[in-house]
Amino acid sequence: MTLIAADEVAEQKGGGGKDPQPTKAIEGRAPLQLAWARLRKDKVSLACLGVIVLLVLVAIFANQLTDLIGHPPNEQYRDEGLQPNGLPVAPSSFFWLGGDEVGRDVLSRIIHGARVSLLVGVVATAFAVLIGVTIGTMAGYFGGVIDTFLSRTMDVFLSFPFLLFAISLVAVKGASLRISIFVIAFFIWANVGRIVRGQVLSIREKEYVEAARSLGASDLRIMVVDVIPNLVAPVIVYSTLLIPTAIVFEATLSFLGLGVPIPTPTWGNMIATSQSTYLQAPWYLLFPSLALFITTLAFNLLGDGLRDALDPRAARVLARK
Amino acid sequence: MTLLDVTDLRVSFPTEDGLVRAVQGISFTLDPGQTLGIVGESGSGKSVCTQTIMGLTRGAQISGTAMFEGRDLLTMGDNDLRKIRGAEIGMIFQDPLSSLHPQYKVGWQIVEMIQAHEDISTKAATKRAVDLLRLVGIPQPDRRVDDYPHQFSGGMRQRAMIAMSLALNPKLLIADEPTTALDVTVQAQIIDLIERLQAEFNTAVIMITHDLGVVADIADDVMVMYAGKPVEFADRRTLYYRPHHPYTKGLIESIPSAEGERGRLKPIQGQPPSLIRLPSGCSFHPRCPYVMDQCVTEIPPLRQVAGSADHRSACWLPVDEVGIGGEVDRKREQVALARRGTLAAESSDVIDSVDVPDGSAADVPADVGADTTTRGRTQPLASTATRAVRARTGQPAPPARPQRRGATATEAVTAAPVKKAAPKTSAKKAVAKKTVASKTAGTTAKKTTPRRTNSSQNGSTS
Amino acid sequence: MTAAQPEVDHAGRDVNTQAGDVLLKVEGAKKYFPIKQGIIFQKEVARVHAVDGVDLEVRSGETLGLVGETGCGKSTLARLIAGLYPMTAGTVSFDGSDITNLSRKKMRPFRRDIQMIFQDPYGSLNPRRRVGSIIGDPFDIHGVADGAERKKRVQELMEVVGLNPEHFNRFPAEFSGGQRQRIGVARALALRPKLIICDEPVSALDVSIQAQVINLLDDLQNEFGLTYIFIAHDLSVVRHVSDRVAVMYLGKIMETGPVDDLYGLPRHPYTNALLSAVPIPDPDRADSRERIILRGDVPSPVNPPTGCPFHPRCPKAQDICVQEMPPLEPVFVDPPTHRTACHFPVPEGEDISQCTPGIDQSGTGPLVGADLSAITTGS
Repeated sequence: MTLIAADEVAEQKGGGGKDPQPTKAIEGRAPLQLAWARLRKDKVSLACLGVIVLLVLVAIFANQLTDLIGHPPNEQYRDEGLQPNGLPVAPSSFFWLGGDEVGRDVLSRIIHGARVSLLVGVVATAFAVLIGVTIGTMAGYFGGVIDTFLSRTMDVFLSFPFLLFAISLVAVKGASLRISIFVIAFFIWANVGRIVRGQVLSIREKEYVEAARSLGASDLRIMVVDVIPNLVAPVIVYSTLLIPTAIVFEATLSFLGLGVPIPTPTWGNMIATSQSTYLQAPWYLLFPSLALFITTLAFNLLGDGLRDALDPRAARVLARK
Repeated sequence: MTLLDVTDLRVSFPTEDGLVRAVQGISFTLDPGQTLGIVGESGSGKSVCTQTIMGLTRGAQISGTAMFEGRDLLTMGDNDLRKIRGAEIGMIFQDPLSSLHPQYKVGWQIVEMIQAHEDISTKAATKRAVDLLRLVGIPQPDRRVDDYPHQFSGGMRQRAMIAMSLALNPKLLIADEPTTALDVTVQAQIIDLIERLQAEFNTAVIMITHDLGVVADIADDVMVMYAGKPVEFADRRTLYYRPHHPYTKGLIESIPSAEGERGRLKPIQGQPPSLIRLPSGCSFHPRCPYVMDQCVTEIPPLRQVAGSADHRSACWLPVDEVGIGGEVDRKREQVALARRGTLAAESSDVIDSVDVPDGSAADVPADVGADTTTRGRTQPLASTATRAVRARTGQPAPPARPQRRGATATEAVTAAPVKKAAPKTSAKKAVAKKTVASKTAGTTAKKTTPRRTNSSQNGSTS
Repeated sequence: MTAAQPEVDHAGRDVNTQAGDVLLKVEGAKKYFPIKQGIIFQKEVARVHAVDGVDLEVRSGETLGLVGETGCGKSTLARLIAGLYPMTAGTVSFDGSDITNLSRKKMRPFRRDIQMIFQDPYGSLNPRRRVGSIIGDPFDIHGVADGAERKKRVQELMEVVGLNPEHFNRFPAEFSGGQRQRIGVARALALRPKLIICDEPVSALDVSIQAQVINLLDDLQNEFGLTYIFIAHDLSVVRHVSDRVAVMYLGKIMETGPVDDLYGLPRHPYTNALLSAVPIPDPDRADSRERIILRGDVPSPVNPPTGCPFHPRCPKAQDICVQEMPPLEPVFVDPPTHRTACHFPVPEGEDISQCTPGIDQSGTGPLVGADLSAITTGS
């Protein structure tokens, strides 16, 4: 069967010590370096990575960029930015991506919006991963009652109505960047937790964990030294896929007026305010949406690419096709 | 009349790391009722060979012919092949899960398979399925026929798959490690069953295995494969008692003896090579205790050797040196020594280079390892540290010490010239040197430095 | 070889009668794994009787071989001894102290003395960690050495097991199966244990590599005076390495004895069947011996048969076998070291393939290949 053949070939390749060619690629390299080598061959992923790096740069240097353009994001250009009838102006040499309903530069606002989107996306995901990995690892590693308790907790979190919770929380606490991050992290960590738990369940049965136990290693040590490093690959992939989810969540919150308070530009509140004029000024809806779309797409495609790069077996199958 | 005639079969797989030459030129014929054993280690190409014949290697580059009753299986269309597969050629795999569909009842799958090839009512086919399950020893087959594969234990799944492959009374049964995953008592049942089938229906069998014991039990002829090539072919008695190829001899010697003699085992040193970049000349030469210059440069063809009429071996040693043990081994040794020049002397280096990627630390372990243990066994506990230090400071190893009880004189002789030849010239230095060497040498694995050669020669004379 | 070296190697097999003191003693060991069902409140629905009352003694310096088929509980027994699972019942004492179900803390000092080598050279090494750190684990965990000292000792170990110490910084994936197994051996050896439990250490390796690892284990035993429990399903490997052998079937020991006695005069019908089923890599001998073909597979340990667990497959089974588990004791003229748990042990020269059981065994499954007519109707 082809499967068996693949295994045999895989063994050939995997048995680093015994064959020259593949080891040449591997020599002394960490598994992550290997993955990077594979990723570099994947043009789509590289392009996505490029887009993301660009976005990050844009977000970091947002002030400098808007200075360069000459239009601060909250500056209202009543004369140049609005048509005589009060509608936003179309893209022109003055406003490259057009203006909004009060005469602000859409480009400048998108640039600054990237800040909020990425900040919320990355920070919320980071928190979610931190909590998710901790809880998931504990659930999977200890099993039994602890697992039952933690897993049910995760189920509860996953079945929480997101928007209702967000609305009531904002109503009590008031909208802010911090609340946005909190709400989003609160809602996505259980996804990470679940995936991690599943992985840990299989890692726990590995002989190397048993070996560590037979040496007398403590549970904490086993989790930190033997279990968590093996979660790196799935967690990287999953967080890459989680960042766009968080970004979309943030945009949703902003869209509903529950996110970062105005006048701070976010893609979400831009899309929301563009609703009233989208027939007359479609660019105002189009460009923030496009920014959101491209960002989400880039992260998702990169996540897929990473999955292939980090999962050697998948890569091998590809190679055989 | 010949049932299956395979001529110069070659299979390679393109991979991201290069072309994997899985099978490089296999020819054999098989008559009805005959059993051919194909023996080899993982990666020797033994499975790929039959999978290709059955059209199960997709994405491979294939050449050669495989005539089954006069029709070439390799050029046959998928539809024709499907008709032959199952009906005329049955296959048993190591992993039964790969051939049983998890979503369908076991009985239904057998019925389906019978009906695909025969015009027969479902009722009759079901009865046959029950009989088949009984044949392979499934308890309460009339009830079990309605079970799903996951309700079967591992052994029962294997049996069910065997039942399926036997259902249509194939003329040829290809068994690919059929018993590897099974317990010995079940393995005995299966082997017994295959033998009865042969006696009853004159079924031809190709038995692929890594277990020399299984082959000794049931094969008529045996083909030993190494790194994608057949290295020796003979009837089983000749092969076991009068092997010619050092690899065959090594395999037989490395199994613990059936009489339970203690002594040391005689492993084959080193590791199997990569199929992507094979050693030059004879693929086995880096591990061969009898390596000669010719082995490094020329690929030995399968030649007729002394023994029986059909005994062929791909080795440059004289064709009349067959057998195992004392006298013959000494003769082999003499021949090899006489014909061993610088090239072959360096082959202990080649063991390293074969294992090792360009530009990285030489993978001496297999070799040094064997060496260390060979020597290490006679050293007292306290010497461990000394040894480690010596490895770093680069003092030459002391001469081999007396063999432990149980090791034969022959072992000492055969082990000496090549294996003892890799003294611990500072592992670090050797490594560094090799790094330089392989960098300058580019892709040729066999390039070595003169210095190392000297040390090898010193080693062999010590 | 220095005089200080214990003369307990295989070469002097006869030494085993005068072998050292009892290092390990297992009495009445039982391990049942619960099978649970339910989402929140889990209920035990069944039990896997993995180890079901095993008594065992290992003397220091010897190798005890443990053989048996899938599901016979040999690996579980090994893990009970290593303290990896709590025992359901029974006691384990090591070097005179009771180590049954010790807390992690109290077990720690014993961990240094009891080590394991695992079957799967791919699964037993963490793929994300460098070899040096894997082998150095024991030093870390027990605070024996760190920094440069640790590195030095790791490299010594690598040297001892035949790995290039320069490969300290490589990942397991860069080694072949045999080399990985050497890494596992080095890790087990790090704390200079007294007892090493080898759980199928060579089963996953190619034939030509197996011998390398067996020789290595052999050497280490001589060099460091180790005691081994050697678990394998390959009977010829066990015969080669062991001084004494215990044959397990469904969680129980069926027969135990010095290796030559047991292989030479197997008393239990199961041992007979097992030995007769081993493929012999010698055509003449293979042709001349009579295989004993048993019915069916090993039954599930969830519902082990009553009485003697072998009775559903045993050619000599009678009614009493269904009711009573026979004691493990010497039979016929066997020396006290050779013990068999059978109501109807096999006398010398009896061909048990000619025996017919006195009970109905049809539930076990029909004899394989008894009726070939299913095939004759084929094309």
